[in-house]
Amino acid sequence: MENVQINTLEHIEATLAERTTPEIFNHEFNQFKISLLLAFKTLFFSRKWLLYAILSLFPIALSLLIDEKLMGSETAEEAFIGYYLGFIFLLLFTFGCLLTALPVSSDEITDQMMDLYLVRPVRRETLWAARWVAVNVSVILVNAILALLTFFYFSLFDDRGSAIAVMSNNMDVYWQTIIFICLGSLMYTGVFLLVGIIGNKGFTFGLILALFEQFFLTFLFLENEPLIPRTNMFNLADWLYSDDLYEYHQLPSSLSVADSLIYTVIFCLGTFVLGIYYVRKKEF
Amino acid sequence: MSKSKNNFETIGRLEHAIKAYGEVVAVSDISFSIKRGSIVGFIGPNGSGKSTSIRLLLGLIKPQSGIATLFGVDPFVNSQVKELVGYVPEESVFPQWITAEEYLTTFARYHLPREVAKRRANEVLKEVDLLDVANKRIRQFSKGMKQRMKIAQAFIHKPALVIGDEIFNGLDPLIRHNMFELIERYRSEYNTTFFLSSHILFEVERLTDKIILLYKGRTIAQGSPKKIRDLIQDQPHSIQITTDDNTKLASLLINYKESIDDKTVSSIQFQNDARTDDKQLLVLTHNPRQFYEQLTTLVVENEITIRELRSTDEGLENLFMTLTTG
Repeated sequence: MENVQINTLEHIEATLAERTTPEIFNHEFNQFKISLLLAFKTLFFSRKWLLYAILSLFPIALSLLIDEKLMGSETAEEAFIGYYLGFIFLLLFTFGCLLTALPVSSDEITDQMMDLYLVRPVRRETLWAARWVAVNVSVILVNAILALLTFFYFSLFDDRGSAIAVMSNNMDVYWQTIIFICLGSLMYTGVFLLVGIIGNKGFTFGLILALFEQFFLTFLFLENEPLIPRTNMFNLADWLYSDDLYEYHQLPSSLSVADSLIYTVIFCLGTFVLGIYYVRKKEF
Repeated sequence: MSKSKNNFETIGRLEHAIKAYGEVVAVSDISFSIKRGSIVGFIGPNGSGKSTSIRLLLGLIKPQSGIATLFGVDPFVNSQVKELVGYVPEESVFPQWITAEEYLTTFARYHLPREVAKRRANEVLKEVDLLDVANKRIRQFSKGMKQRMKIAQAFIHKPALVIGDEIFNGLDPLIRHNMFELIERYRSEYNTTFFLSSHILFEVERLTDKIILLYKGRTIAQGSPKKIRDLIQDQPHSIQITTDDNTKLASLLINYKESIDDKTVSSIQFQNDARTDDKQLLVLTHNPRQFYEQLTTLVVENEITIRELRSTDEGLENLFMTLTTG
C-alpha cells in the first residue's frame, strides 16, 4: 500500500483492472479464509450451539435421576445408539442445525452485521460458501463431541469392563456415528442456512420447516417415503450399523444404500447451489 | 468490467433511482453525483431516504428503476469495486465477542495483507484516540467510542471513497472537532472522497464542498454550502443536551445568553427525553457553530459531564416544508 499513490487515477484503475485467473483464485481463497475464520468465531461466541448441547444431554440427566443409566439397554453401545438415533437424531438434530446456522445467517441480517461483510471486496458466493462450510463443520464437531461424551457416559456403567476398555472395544460404533453425523449435517445444514438467509423471519421459518419435516413428513402422511430426507437417513443408519445394534424395519424395499447416498449428495449440492443463487440476488 | 478509459471524475452516481418496499416508496427519482476528491453532505430529515440511497450506492440493494454506480460499475454485482470504499454505518454493529484491535485487523484483511492490517489497525486506533482501549471488547465501549470505531474500520484501508451514514451522531463537540480534522487530513493527504449523510445541516456544512438536500425520497436542492446556508439561514437549530447537572448548565447558559446575542442561544427549556425519560435541556440556536464552541468551553471550565448531545432536525424539517411547498 505504501508504494502506491493512494486515490490517484492510476490507483483506482489498478484496483479495478481485470485480474488473471490465478490472481482471482488467490484473492477469492484469501477472502474465503477470512470469511471462514469470522464465521467460526461468530458461531462459537454466539453460544447457540450450547443450547443444543444442553437439550441433547437432557435424557442423560433423566437417566441418572431415575437410575436407568443404560436407558434399559444391556450394553453401552446399544444404549448409545438408542440415545443417538432414538432421541438426538429423531427429535433434535434438525433443530440443532437450525440453531447453529442462525448466528451467521438470520442474526447477522437482523442486526445488520451482514452489511459490514457486503461492503468488503468479497463475493457474495464466497461469503455463502464460507458460512456453509463453517456451519457444517460446527454441527459435525458439536455432535461428535456430544457423541463421545455420551458414549463415555454409557461405557462407565457397562459391566463388561472399565469405561476405556468398553469404549475402545466399540470405537467402530463411534466412527459409524461420526459418518452418520456428517451425512446428516450435509443433508440438513444447507437447508437451514438457506432459510436463515431469508432474514429476520429465518428462525420462524426454520422452526416451521423443522417441525414440518419432523412431524408431518416423518410421522404422518409421507412417513417412509423415499423422497423424504429422513427416510434416506434411516436407510443410511441401517447400512452403517450392524443389524444386531440397529435395524429400521419400515424402509421402502425399493430404496438402496446407493440411492440414499446419491440422494444425500444431490440434496446437499442442490441446497448449496440454491443458496449461491439466492445470495447473488438477495437485497440486504 | 469496461475497458473504456474512464477518468473517474465522477466516482458515485445515482440517476433517477427509485426504490420502494412494498407500497412504501423510500426513494423516488433521486439523482446526484459524487466528484472525486470532494466532500459531499447528504442532508435530509429522518425517513427522507438517506440510508436507502446509501444502500443503493453500496450495492446492498438494487434500484427498481434508474442507475446506481460506483467508479463506473454496478456495485450490486461487482465486489472488486469495494476495495475502494469505506462505509460507516448508522447503527453500531460489532460482533459481541471482539476486541477493538482484533475487529479492525480481521476485517481489514479483506483489503490488506495481514502485517499491513495489523499496523494500520494501530495507526487508525491512534487517529481516533482509542489506542489505549485496543484490547478491550467493543461491547464495553461507550456510544461515542463505538462511533469512533465505526469510523476507524472505514478508514483503515485508506479508501478512495468513504460513505458515512450519520457519521457524527453521538459524538461530543471535542471528538466531533477531532473527527472533522481527521476527515480533512485524509482528504488533503490521500485525496479521499467523502459522502456524509446527516439529518443536521450544521454537522457537515463546515466540511463540505457540496450539499445535497433530500426530502421524502427526492433531491430537492443541491449546491455549495453557502447556497444551502442562505436557504436555511432563518431556521432555528435545536439541540438536546443531557448532562450530570442540567440545572447548572442551564444557569450557565442563561447567564451566557444575557451577555451574548440572542442568535447563539435563542431559548432554553427543560424537557424529558422521549426515549429514556431522562431530564434534558432543549436549546434553540440560530448560530450552532458559535453555540457548540461556547458549550465546549463552558462544560470544560465547569467540569460538567455531557451524557448525550443530539441535534434534532426540526429546523431542517421547516426548511424542507418551505422548499417543497414554496
